[in-house]
Amino acid sequence: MIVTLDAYSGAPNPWWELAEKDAKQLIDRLAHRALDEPSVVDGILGYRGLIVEARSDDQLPEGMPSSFRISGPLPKEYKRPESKEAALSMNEADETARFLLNTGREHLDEGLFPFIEEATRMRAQAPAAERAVEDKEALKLATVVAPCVIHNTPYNPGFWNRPNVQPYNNCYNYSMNWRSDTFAQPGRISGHQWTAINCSNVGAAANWDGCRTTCLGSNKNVALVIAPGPGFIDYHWYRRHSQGFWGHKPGGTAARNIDNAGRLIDGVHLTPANCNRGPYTIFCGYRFSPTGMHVR
Amino acid sequence: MTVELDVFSGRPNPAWKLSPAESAKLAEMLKDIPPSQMVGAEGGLGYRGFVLSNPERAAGLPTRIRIYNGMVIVDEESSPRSYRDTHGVERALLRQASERGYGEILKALLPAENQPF
Repeated sequence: MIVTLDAYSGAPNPWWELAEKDAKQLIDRLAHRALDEPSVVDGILGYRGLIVEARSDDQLPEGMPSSFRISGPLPKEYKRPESKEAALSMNEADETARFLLNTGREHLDEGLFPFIEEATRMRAQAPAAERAVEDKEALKLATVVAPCVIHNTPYNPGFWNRPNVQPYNNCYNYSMNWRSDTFAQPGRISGHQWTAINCSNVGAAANWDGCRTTCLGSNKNVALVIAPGPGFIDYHWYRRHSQGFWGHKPGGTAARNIDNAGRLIDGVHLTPANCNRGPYTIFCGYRFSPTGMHVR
Repeated sequence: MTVELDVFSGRPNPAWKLSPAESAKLAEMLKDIPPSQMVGAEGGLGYRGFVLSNPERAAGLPTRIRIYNGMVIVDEESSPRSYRDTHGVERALLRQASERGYGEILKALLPAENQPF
């Protein structure tokens, strides 16, 4: 999940990625609460809260929006849509903002913290709240690496099939489960982008990004195929889901779990018998994409 | 206005800009095409038609139009509008793609009877 501090006017706002442990804490804090859209904010100069945005389709539980704003000053005329779920109180929102800000200490100028505290205090017209317990917890960013854990996630096409996401993310984004909005290319984020379309070149470029042919730690199953030409030369990726079937996203079109013949891509293995791949006739093999892998 | 030949999955699609005269000609072809109740298919791996991107609304056309399989889909709102391609827009764009150097791609993907050669 990406957190953006909305405070600047000319300079770009700083952003950072939440560690998995912090993301879980955030979800626990905000479960079953009504959250404000990122666009709901009073356009004042200065601190305007934090924007949280999911970058992959398994990061937020069902019912939670894929992006929202925390602790932003609301426009005076704004009325929250009716919801069964309770909105955060100002105090809860500010505490959550403090927790988030603490996760971004490495990315933020130290001088920002007192400025934000003061802005929060002025707005709340109340004494500054005590530091959240989670602040201390957030600093313990232990990562446990298991020998090999397959962690395929549920099929969630709704995350991808939205007008502001679908055209800008391709099969590589989908299979590695990372929304970059850049039509990601194997190797680009690591500075080793593919130079030819064949199994070894595209596979090696993806390896530079973190993809592997052997399983180590927490991974999802992915597979690479190639359209070898003549005439039509391209690559394509699939990702296996926790329900057992495979999903994919042909270019800028919708994410789906059906093949070129309209059949559910079911089965442990992708074979021509259970997956019509059209012109992508070369099967390069199965690979392991580490949980949380990024692409660009 | 940009025309995208929607064929690739991993690589960016081939795309080209239309001149004002070409845009006007395309707008003329898209005029008065009949609406359709059918939901246009998006297509799978391989040839998926064309996407017209027109953020500046040149020639009075919508910002995003998909043309595929005999259908014209105006795709700029939450509920897309479908029309029948009775004026041969897709065929004309296939010819244009071929003239712009993408004939080999189309040859590899389209059945002989649909090729603009």
